[in-house]
Amino acid sequence: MKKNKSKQEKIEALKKSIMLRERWLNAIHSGLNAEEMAKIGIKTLPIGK
Amino acid sequence: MMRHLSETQINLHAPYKVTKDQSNTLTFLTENGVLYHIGFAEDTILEISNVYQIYIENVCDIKSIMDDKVRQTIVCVLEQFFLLENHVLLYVCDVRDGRQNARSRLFQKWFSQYKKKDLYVLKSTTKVVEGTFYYASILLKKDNPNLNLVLQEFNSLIQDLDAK
Repeated sequence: MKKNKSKQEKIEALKKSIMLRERWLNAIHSGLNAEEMAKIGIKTLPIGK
Repeated sequence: MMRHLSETQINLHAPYKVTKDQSNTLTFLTENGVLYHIGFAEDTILEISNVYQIYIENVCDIKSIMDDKVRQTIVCVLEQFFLLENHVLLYVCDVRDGRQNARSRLFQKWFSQYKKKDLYVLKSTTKVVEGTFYYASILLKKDNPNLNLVLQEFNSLIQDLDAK
């Protein structure tokens, strides 16, 4: 069952969501591959041929 | 049901050729010399699986002139995205240059121009966090079995953040 989050917890979740963009940008600019990104918590959408 | 985006399928219809790299990022170069990156990363804010944020980056930060092929290419990518099982798109506008309002308006304009928009639900909001305006939208297909749950969680998040 899902835990009911407090407002503060939701603000923290929102900040984490906002920060995800910066982390993704830093990761691709650093030349990380998808596997390395996953190790730091950025789960990218797989793209095939 | 597809489990990943297909570069080949996107390129069947995209006016600009997209290429994927090892970071699961798609790249395309416009005829005006603007290089774009598009990527998706899973977001857990709604605690629902298959919710992804989309990132669209003008890599060289060259001012892009009006180019409808950019919109068409991004639409092709998104159409492939929505072929994936029950996927939900979360778009949080980039705030680094303070132009998040313009990005939000462009996103809404593109959606309003999209011929198949009736197949989708778009919900948008504006939030101020620590003095900065953030624009966020959620987009999913109407036949997504999690439609009601996703909208409920998104609305709940908005309402709770608004509450004193």
